[in-house]
Amino acid sequence: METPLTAIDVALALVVLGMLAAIVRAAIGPSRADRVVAAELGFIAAVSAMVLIALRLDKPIFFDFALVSVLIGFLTTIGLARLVTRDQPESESP
Amino acid sequence: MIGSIIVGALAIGGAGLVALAGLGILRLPDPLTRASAVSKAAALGLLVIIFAAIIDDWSPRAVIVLVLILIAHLVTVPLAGLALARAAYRSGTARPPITTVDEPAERYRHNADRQAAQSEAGPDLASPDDGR
Repeated sequence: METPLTAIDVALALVVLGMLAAIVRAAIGPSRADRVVAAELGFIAAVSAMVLIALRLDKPIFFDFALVSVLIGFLTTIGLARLVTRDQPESESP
Repeated sequence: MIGSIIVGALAIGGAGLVALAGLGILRLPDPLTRASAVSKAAALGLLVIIFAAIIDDWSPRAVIVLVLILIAHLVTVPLAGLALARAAYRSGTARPPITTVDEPAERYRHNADRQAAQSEAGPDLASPDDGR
């Protein structure tokens, strides 16, 4: 089955743009919350790149990598969000 | 032929949404709006890319894994966005001057007052913040 190679190449370039924006925000982000948001965007961009690479190279093994990465990215985001409020006392959530 | 055109259009559209989330994370003024941009635009972008992959690869193995990715992503991204927004609000850095409505403030002040009264009465031994 022929794949639209050039279209998927363009899509990969766009995903790289999103990843670069996340890296810039993680570098200059004034607060810890900004850096955690940048980390989440970086994870989503990485999973998108894995799915697109699976299409580009026609190797379905990358779908498995993407599945594991989605779950690890969720755990990482929850843990980092917990780390942002490290200095605050525990209280009820609104 | 028509299938590959659809796959290309969906892949470029999804990747464009991820790039749009990148634009939002660079341009928006405070962590709450940035978390909003990421958890909506980027989530929809990955969704559209996964639809493109499902259309491109019809083998049962790939479709099963892709549907699992779809479900995991749909369940976890709103939760992660909520945790991020809560953390950003509670860390106190998310108070830009353009914000005019601050609904959770009253509730947080109530909680803080009760916490202060509790710590006057004695240390809370059951607090999960111990030992860090």
